[in-house]
Amino acid sequence: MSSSPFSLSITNSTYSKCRSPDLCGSCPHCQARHWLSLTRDWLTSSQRRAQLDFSCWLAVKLPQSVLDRLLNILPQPSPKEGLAALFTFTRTPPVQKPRSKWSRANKQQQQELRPIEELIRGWLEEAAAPVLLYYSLCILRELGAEQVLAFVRTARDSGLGLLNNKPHVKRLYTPQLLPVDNTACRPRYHSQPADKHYSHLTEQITDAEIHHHTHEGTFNLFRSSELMLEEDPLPPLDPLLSHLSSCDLIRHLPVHISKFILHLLPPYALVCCMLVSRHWNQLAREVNLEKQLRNRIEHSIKAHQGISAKVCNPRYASLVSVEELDETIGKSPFLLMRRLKRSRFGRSECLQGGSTRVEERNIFCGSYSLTSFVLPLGMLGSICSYDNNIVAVGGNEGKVHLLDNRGKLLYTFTAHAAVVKSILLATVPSGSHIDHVLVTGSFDLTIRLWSLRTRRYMRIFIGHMKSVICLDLKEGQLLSGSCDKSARLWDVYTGNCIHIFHHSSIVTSVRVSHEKYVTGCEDGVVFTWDHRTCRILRRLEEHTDVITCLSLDSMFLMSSGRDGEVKQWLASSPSCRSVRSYSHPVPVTCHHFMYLRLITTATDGKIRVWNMIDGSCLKIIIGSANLEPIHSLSILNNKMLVCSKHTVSSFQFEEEKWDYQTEFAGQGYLIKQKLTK
Amino acid sequence: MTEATLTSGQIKLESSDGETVTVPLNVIKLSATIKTMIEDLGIEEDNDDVVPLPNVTHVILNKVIFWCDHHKDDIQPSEDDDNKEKRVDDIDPWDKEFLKVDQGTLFELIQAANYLDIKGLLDVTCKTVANMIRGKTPEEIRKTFNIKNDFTPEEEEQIRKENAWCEE
Repeated sequence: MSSSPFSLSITNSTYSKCRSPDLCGSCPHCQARHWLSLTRDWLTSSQRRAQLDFSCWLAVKLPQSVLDRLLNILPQPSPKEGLAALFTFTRTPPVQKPRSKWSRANKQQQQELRPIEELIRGWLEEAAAPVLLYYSLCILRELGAEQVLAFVRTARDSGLGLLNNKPHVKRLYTPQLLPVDNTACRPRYHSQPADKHYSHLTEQITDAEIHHHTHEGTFNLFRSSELMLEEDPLPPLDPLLSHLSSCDLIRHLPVHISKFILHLLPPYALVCCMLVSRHWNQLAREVNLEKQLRNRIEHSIKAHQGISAKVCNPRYASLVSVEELDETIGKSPFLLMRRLKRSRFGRSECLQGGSTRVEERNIFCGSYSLTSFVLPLGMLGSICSYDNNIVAVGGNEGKVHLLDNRGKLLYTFTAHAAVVKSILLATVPSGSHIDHVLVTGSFDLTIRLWSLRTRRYMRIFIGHMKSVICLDLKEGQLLSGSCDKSARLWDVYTGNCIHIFHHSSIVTSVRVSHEKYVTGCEDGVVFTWDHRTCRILRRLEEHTDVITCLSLDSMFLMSSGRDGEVKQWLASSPSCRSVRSYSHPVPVTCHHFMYLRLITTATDGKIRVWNMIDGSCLKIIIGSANLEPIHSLSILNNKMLVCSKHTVSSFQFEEEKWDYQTEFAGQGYLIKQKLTK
Repeated sequence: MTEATLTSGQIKLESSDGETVTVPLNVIKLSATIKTMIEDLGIEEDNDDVVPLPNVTHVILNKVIFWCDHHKDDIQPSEDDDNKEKRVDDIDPWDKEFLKVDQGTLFELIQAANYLDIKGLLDVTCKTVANMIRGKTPEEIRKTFNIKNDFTPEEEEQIRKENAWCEE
């Protein structure tokens, strides 16, 4: 007998000791000892399954007061354990036991199990609660972890009345089905008496488990196939049938094997199975739900642990039709949002109106070569920018260093009088040619613009009252955010301040696009501003901590926060609710999205690639040595550059030949199989 | 029961139709049911005990033994493999050839594998059935397995509607 992992201490209560010096044999203690030794003897000679059944039986038989005490002491099964139990295919030995002498081991089990129950039952009903508590504790100590767990589940469920009244079955069942009582609820496929009257309990518990751990009404897992079978009795298998060329295998095999077979099928084949017959439909439905649930759990566990998720096809690409978001849709944002939430494809399927084809690609999922260099002393990695194979890194004493992508120092700007707080490499069209420029914001309240070609100071922007901590430049418009609780818009060519956006807290992130300006604050609020009138358009308040990064294209607005969430918003809808949220276990520092994929970096040093269609995490890449927090991410073509405090790593991904024929994006079920009638 | 007897001994199995087959223990040890039984009961080498298998016919039993004989030296997959994503298309060519049988035989093989608890055989037979289902339309599946469509047209429509997201 394996020792139980749970240590249970039994106090010296009056019942635990016989008063007379040489055991009297009639006091409660002696009786308990007697039954205990009987049960122990039986347990040592019994098998796992019988022990499981016994522990379930005991849990049902014990009075509620004892159970309550026990449940306080015993560990509660975690959801994971319950689900793990649910999704393991246990190949139970066939119930139809051979009757001959070689199976006497099994037979003994069955014969002995009954007397032990019979014997104990009478005593259990009479004995006082403390004695029972003592008895059950001793028994539990003898049992293995699995049995204890089964005991706890049964005890909990019997306490909730789940087993006696089965409210979940009643509620979810359509009334025209046959009323089901406890004993009738046994799979027909099992030729019965071997498992006896409480074997169904363990199966019920599994149902109850699901009930506890899924709170979504859509997960209608309780339509147990057993009940279905009850309504739809199995036609007797013609002995000749097995010699015919075809028979309904799924129907005549034991349920667990049929389910196992269906579990092997890809999702679209499962849907085909649903359409075959009622019986198949029922089984396929259950398998489908189990698969979904299992995927979900596995996936979220992996995303949080930072283990690379399932292998995704790095060449996958497709054209997804995405409905255009125009003003007409914007008129009923609430309805839109509701539909978006309900749709499994996020946003792509459900909108009315004209649609655009958007390209989807599994970018950054393939193989890459990694170059990484340690920053020389005196350079702060926390602020850095990357463009055109040049890395600009902020240094002490107001210096900005330009490095090439191998870490060789190209040039050092003595940029500011005080610490540089923000750096940006950008391009400014000036006349016929395009200027590569460096923009720096500093603790000395100024923003300066440098030409990379001439390596000379070009312009200064003065106006902020506190240090400038974020910058963005596009098409000659420079937006800066500052600790003085304002964002300022500047004309790059003249150096004039065009507009001041006042905020209620420090502006930590800014972004400029063709149509609007976006600013994010320390208190987690994101504002969007009209680019012509500079009026506030939307105030997005779903983040609970500092906004670290913003990005924007014609359809989506993404915001990441120190609360570990990246929220996806519709760019042109007036609605203030996010469409989707990508949860990280740690604060997100930076993100970038393209081709319906979102790349995020977080303080746990990992880069995650997300699918924006179904919200799943496709790939996790370790982005920095020693899992140092990553501070910035820059993406240019198929090159990705991340910067942590001491190192800069550049990931050069292989050029992919995009394959538009593959069916799966990786995790999600993007099923394009047509069901032919 | 010593390790030596497990590798060298033999055991007699009796099928449901009365045929007796003598099998080396190192072959039949793939069956967890028989292995457990031998370990529990400790059958002696020169024992004339016959193990009856009341729901396996001798045809199927011979097939199972044939399969076990070919796979007796395979590496046993560890328990962890249960949690991995199962693949359907990785059937060994020998097994493929072995399982080119009619559905009745396949059905009985699955039942025997389940009854004798032979994990490898159960896996490979289930995969074969899965392959028979895969890539077929509902109508084709019905034809393959000789199933009557017991849906009313409304029900069928309903299911199609529910799963419309699968259709393009």
